[in-house]
Amino acid sequence: MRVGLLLSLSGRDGADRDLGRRAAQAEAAGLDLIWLEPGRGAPGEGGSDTLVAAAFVAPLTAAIRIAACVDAGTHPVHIAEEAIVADNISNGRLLLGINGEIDAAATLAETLDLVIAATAPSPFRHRGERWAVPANIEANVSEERVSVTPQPAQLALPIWVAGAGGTGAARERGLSHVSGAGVGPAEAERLWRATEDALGRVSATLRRPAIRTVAATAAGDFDDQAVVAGLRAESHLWGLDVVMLALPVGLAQAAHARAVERIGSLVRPQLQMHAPPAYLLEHLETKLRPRFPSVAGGEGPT
Amino acid sequence: MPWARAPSWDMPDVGVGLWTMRSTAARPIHAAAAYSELARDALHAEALGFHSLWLAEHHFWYDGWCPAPVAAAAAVLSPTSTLKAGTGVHLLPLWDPSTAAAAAETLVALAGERLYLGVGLGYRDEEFDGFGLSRRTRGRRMDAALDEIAVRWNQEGRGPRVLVGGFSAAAMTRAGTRGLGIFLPFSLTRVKLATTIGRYREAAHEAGQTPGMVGMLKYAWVTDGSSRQREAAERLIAASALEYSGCWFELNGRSGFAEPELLARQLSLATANALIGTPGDIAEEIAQLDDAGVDLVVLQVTRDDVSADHLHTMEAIAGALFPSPPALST
Repeated sequence: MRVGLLLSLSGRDGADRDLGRRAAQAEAAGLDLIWLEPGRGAPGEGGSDTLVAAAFVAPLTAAIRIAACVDAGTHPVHIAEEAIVADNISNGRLLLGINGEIDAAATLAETLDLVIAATAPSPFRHRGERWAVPANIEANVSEERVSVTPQPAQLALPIWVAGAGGTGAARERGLSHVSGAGVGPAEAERLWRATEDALGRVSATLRRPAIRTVAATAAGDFDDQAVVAGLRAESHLWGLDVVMLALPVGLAQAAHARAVERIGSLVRPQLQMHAPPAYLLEHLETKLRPRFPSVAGGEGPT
Repeated sequence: MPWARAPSWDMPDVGVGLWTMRSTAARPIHAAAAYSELARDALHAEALGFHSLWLAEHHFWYDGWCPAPVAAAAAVLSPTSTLKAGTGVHLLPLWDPSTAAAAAETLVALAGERLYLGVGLGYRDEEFDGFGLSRRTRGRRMDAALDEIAVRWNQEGRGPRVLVGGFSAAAMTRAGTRGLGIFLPFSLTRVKLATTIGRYREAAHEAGQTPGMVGMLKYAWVTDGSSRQREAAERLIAASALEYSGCWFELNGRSGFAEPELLARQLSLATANALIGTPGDIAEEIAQLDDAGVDLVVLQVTRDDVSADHLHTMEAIAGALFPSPPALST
């Protein structure tokens, strides 16, 4: 299983100054990816731009994949352009998450179509309910088709669909849908069965990602055995293969660092084999366990 | 002749520009390599003592000209600690104001108050059409965006510093009446510079505003001071602007290449007002810009179409500008 860390932007001045450090810590702990979640403040407070954040953390890391989740609704050509710049800054480490709520299905679908076209090599033309590219407005000298340039560093930019409104749109386009923190194991299983039915063998090419929360204490400790057991169960049940772990919001710097270290040393290693042999687990217990305080009665992923 | 001017308190801030990450036919480069050079060059500019590094924006062109300069600015600010990043310019009318605001505010939240947002109208029809806009609306869209985001940042004393690009009376009024700074093009002669800054200050005072920062772009080319090298520099500066101007400038209603005489005149504006000479000569001219009221000079040192080493140019000029560069003193 690929194990990543969810990092949320607050969108407030000063509160995001730690992001670069946290991304570097996730990489140092051997994690596979970070998932950047936009701050969603009160209406009118302004959003935050996770693709700018991805471009910011890219020079501070070398290998970790950087997933940026953006809300559908922004002009898709601008989403594509910022994603392409972030992909080139990171030398091809970007994954684009597009989030759609249930009441904005049409906007999400059109956003996906336009972003897919705008990040592909061929010149394109789009006519949709909300956007026309190029618009061919009479007063303008315009073209039949446009190319968004430059191209991403990757030959094809990976796109995942997040949000309650995204499963159907993802399935129609052969994209992965992200099971959010509110989508439990049973619901995720149902959704992926439906995807298998709709896509057949194509579904085997899709990663099966989920966001799961870790109930860490204020000191950054959590019951890693429960976390491992919960994730392994979901892997067996519905094929979960990329997890983005979310730590409690507002965790202090040192506590956050300790929790990330524990994920890297005790959670991720146990999820790299179907059934790690007992002697390996025992070795982990004796050599690594003492570094981390035990958490009696802690909760697993919820 | 050794550089012998008094300390730097009478010098404007000096930045370097304009990074575009283009892969031109004359100087091809992989986009990912161009962006990794950007982060490297930012560290270099900071170590040499420059104030800021500036980016530009265009869309849908074969060379991959950077379409998202605020995202690119993130790669300038994350590896550095004191260097500022600027856009020279961000084509604000092409963006939804809330999208542009979110990008800039996110970067300020991540990197601190190190972002200068130079904003311009844009002029290529194809770029407006790609976003479903008519070019005719650009002035109105600029005013609306400035009122929605820049004025708010200015009043709240947070967010990026906004400089309005251009030199027309409309641009000076747009900036002055809102208490925003200005970012002047390289083509202004000394006389034109004085009248333009005067007009800007007047617009600010009439509106009861304090004039903001005056920034200016200047081509810079280091020579040994000989006339032979000056002529070569002028040829290369013109060559470096030829493709861009020929393809994009509408002269007499046609593409620049179709009007070779007008195009040559355009290119001569770049060379006539360029800073060409020894590092000491260039530093002297920069100091004179301070006397003219310029607070920030952005030296155009990158060459997207001709072979030249911009790092060498930066090092040579920094040696004359900053008596003991931080890179050497630490």
